[in-house]
Amino acid sequence: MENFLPAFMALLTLGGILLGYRVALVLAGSAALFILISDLPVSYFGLIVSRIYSNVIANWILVSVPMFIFMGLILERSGIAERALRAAQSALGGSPAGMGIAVLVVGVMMAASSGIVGASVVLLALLALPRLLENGYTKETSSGLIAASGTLAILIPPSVMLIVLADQLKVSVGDMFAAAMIPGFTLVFLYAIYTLIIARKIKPVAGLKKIQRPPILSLAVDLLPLLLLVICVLGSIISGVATPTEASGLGALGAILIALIYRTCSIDIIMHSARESVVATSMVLLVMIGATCFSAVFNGIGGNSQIEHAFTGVAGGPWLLLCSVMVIIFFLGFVLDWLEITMILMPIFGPIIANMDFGNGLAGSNLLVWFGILVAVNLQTSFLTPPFGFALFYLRGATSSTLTTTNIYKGIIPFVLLQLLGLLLLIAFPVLVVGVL
Amino acid sequence: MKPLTNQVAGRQFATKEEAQHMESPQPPSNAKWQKITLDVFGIFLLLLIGLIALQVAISFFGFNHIFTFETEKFLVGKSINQNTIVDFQWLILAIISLIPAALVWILDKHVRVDFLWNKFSTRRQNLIELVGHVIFTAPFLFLSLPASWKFVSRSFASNEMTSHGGMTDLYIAKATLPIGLGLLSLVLLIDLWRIVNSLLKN
Repeated sequence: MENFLPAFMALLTLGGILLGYRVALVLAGSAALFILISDLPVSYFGLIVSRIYSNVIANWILVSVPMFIFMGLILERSGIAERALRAAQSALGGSPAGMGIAVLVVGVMMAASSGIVGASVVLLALLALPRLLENGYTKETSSGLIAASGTLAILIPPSVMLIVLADQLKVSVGDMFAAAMIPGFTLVFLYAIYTLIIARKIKPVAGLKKIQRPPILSLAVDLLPLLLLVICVLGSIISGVATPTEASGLGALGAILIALIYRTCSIDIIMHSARESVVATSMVLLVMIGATCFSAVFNGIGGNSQIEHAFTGVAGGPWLLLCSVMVIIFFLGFVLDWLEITMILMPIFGPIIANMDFGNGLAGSNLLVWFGILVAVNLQTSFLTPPFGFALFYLRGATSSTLTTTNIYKGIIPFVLLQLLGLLLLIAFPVLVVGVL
Repeated sequence: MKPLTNQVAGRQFATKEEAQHMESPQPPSNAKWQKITLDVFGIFLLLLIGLIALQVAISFFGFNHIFTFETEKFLVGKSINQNTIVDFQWLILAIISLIPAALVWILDKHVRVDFLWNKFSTRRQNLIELVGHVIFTAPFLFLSLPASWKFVSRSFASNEMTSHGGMTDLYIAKATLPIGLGLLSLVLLIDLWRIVNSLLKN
């Protein structure tokens, strides 16, 4: 007889999540429920507890999660990010093309410093949207450009998503960060080409007063500290001088120091950021605990081996599997968040992918890093897809008086297509991902 | 700038409506108590930054043993060394993530997928909460509480310590799990009481 339990478990879980019950507890609860229903012994939960302990609690890499969240919050709250954004804008603005590129550059800087999509999108929307419109960009293109630049935050390191992905796929965070650089910049490059093509068609707006280029010294004061912090944090992780945890802790300290130098730091800002980081960390780790329970039980009742069997022995099996995973993630991305998708799917598909031969010369950790980056780009796209893309949600929240939902949805389509083009490039040319390793 | 305050790490915690709901009519004494509790965990988080900086500094200057003791001390054994500090880092992570889980529940900040949820009436939301509590949260706590308790008492009985000469008394770190889950059970019971009451009223 077929074993229907795994399918039943997957459906129950998806149902619970979609109806809006707390995701972490849907995952943990369906695990508990299926231990009681299936013939797994109750003592199986003892095993799960020790796995929770070793994978989530006593996991030193995860210490970097609250640190990076805290660092991002401090940079945003104390106005450091905003300062850099204004500086870059005034340095690059002046023509429509320049202004478009300035938004991209600032998006990358925000991505590399805070790694928080919501913060990036909202800041860009508030500061850059009026400038883009003044320069003759349509509302559609402006909103697409802002949402796409803002979501780079989860792809360009340091990103909490890449840390969690690396942890789940059991590859080094440094490799994952290094491997994400070229794909990240490939996307930036695609956006840039698109923006330049659009900008060529824009007639210069009459009566727009020329922006005064600020003196180099004030630019340096506004930009250098942040750039230095980003380069130190990322450089030390990628080069292997520091572990992600060490770099994240020093990054958090560095963010506070920069805020002190600018005299925009206060106990209030620090405590507020600390409180929010605690809440976010608790939330992230509870989802991880839930997902640990889920994947242990799903595997225990035979779900993983069912999936593996379905894809082995089929002609072109590895590619078929990869395409299926990518399609599943793309569609789950319409409704679920990166954390749930990563935590549920990676324990199932990671080990299966690891044993496959794609005929492109990738094996072992390189193969997993490549797979992880494909997942990351795909998840980034999910932030942009209507109706539930988070980036769109923030953009609408921040600009409700200027942009309509239709503007935003229309504007994002070309960028989603560029994302898919980027994804195909990375699939076809793995060297873009693993070349640096 | 409201949306900023409601999200971290690239995800949303609550919609605008929920945010407004959360910010306004709560009894002030409750909100104050919650803020103070989070402040305490926030200070732990700042301590974590300090510990990481300390660890980087001592590995840079090549110290290993910072303190050595004649006798075994609680949590640290006979010396405080680099490994002890590394272990304290994840101990703090366990404390700041597991113990506030119940408070995060009270603040309703555990992740939900809310595109349908936001369209539901309060009554329907309450029904989903009730069913979810009964079929998901309750079985989970029913199995995980005893299992995690056993896990801690085994560690306590065997006087377990790390294998690399770091932290001793590992049961302290492991105890964060049953403590966090225990507090969650308490919150679950209170919430069940609230929901049943409000469903009966209507």
